[in-house]
Amino acid sequence: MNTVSVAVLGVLLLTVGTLALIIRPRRASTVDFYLAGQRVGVVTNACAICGDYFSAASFLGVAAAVYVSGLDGVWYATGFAAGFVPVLLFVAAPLRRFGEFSIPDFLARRLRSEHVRLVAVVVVQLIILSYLVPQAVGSGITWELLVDRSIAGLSPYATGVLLSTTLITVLVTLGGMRGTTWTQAVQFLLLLSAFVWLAIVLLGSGFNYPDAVAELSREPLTNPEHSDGGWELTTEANRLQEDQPTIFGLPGGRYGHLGQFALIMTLVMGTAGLPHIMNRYFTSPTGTAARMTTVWVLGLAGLFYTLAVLLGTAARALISEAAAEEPWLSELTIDGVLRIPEHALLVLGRLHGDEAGLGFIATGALIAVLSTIAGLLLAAAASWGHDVYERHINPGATQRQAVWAGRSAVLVVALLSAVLALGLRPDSMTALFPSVVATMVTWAFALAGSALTPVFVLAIWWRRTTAAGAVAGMVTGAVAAMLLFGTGTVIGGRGMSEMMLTPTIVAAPLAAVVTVLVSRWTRTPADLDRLWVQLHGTAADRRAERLARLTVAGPGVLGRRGQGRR
Amino acid sequence: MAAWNDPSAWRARLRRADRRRADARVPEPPGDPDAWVLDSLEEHDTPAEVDATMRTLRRVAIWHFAVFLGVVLLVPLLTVALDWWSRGRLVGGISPNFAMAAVGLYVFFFAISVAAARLSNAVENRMLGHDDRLLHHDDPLDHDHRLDHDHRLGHDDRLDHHQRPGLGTGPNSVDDGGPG
Repeated sequence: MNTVSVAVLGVLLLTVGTLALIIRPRRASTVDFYLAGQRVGVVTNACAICGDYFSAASFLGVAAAVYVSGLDGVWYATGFAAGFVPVLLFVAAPLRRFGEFSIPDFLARRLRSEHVRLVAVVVVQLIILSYLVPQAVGSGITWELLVDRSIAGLSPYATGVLLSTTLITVLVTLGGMRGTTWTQAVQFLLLLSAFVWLAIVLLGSGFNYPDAVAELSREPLTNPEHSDGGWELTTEANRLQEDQPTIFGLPGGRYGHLGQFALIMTLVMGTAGLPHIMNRYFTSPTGTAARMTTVWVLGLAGLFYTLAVLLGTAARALISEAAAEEPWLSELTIDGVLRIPEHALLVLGRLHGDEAGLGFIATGALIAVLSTIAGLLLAAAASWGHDVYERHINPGATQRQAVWAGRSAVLVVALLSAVLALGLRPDSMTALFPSVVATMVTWAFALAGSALTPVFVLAIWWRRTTAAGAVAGMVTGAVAAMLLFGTGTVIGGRGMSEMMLTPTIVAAPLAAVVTVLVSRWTRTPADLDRLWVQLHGTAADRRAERLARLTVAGPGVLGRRGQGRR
Repeated sequence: MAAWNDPSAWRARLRRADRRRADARVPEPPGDPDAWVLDSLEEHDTPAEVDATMRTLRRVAIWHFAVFLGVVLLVPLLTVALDWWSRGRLVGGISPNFAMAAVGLYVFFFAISVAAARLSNAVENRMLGHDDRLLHHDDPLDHDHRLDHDHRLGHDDRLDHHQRPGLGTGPNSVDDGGPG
């Protein structure tokens, strides 16, 4: 990156930082710090959820997956987007109506058990670390690849990890959920505008999407592979028909039938158990608003991923054509094919917008990482600060003490993730970039979908769910997921091991069955009706809506008429 | 111009002044004006009506999820069953399979989410938040109705009369300390 690109990056990050500081919460209240006062509007929250959800795996990874695998690469995006359909159907509105601070808090209050809270805290922290560490690793690698500058004698990778972690920790610590909400919303709009800009430029320059797919599907799909003799192009193995080559527009480039189904179910089930995403639903003013927020998320995610697939296809078609004419591409490609597929969008940005275009896309990549880190740090803070400190260490804490506990938790978790990211880095992580980040993120989805989502959904929709059942279900789901994942990693290869690497398809039903069986043998909470009314009733929604309408109408309307109705 | 001592002219002038004052007021929000009257912000749902609503919403969610899962699984299944699905061409090199995975499924996710959200909102609006006077048959204190309702509930999901707090003191409003 040259000076122009670094300047673009600096200006955009400065803008986001300033925004977070301007709208930071002024009151020392946990509802403000963790939940942004529960007054985040539908569209703003939808954009913030998208900013939170679309990490580098979505921004660079989806296009890269399409670039490498063609049609099968599209399924990663499909799974990411599909995950919000169960969220809308089963989780969003009741979760908000119950109105707590975090997933452990929700489960503990719904099931009236501190044991549930503590087990859920452990599971949530495992998920957060599984998601946070690859994001920190991704920020270091992105910095190394794109900026390649260092400070204070550190390597570029370490500089990237420490700078990004420090920046986002300051923003989250000062801005809380309110500041983070707005920065995430702005960050998502930046990501989307990067995609829209690139798509418009490409289509304006004569790129024809259907013709490009036809052209790419004429020859077998080949990708660079590093062996003892150096880099060379190899034909991708077909997972569906082993005697056939892989074709860009046909299935089989990445998954067999079982592997594809297992991946989709892991991503679909995992989204509803991701703490940093579910915590955002507590910031909606009402349950209905939370539900409609998810509709907006699905619309925005559809647009985002449709563009990502288009850009991945365009990169595959255009970069090989440009390789002969652009000398700088020779360092990045082998016979016109990128060695690191995550470079696809960056190369497209430079091809069509020179250094400023490269800077814009690179900024988008860093922002995608930072906004996800922000959400994860807040979720970790809510879990440690609220569920552990306020509930167990200092139950009599004042609001100010509780907020400072949350801020301290942000600092500690950020430090831990930075240390782990620095320690995890092998000598040359660059070549492993896709596998390390994607594998760890998929693992986070698998753990969330196996341990939390089944218990979560049962606790919301089945009255007989008990604390003992929930604990047994969470432990079973987590242990089953870990065992399967470990076994799949050791075995390697295709078929069953593909399924084991995305184990939700087995672990989630197992967790659900154990939850149901144990619940049938144990007692439900004593005040179940009261909890049920809070979870599924709309009285609080109606009260909030009436208050909002009265606020709009002004105080003159209060008591103006005589007999009213509910 | 009307004479100063013309009563009909004064009446007309007063009517115009009333109209001007009325126009200057904050406009009434649209909708049923009675809905804007604030006697109290108390809102409450009974356990019975919440339970009935939850069951309806659960059916809505499961039905939509079945459709969602069916369509998502149909795409790879058609790959096995229909050669045309992967090798046919709609536009340029785009097969039905590619079109569905790259665009069609996102449109479907959005459409099914809109449908489910609208239906769920309508169910809640229709089944919850009615006037108490119209709901006296759903009153949990109404023993005969409770028996009838419990009879309809499955054994496991039966509302436990002994575990129902606050039923003897009126509406079941919730205030157990959560932020919501």
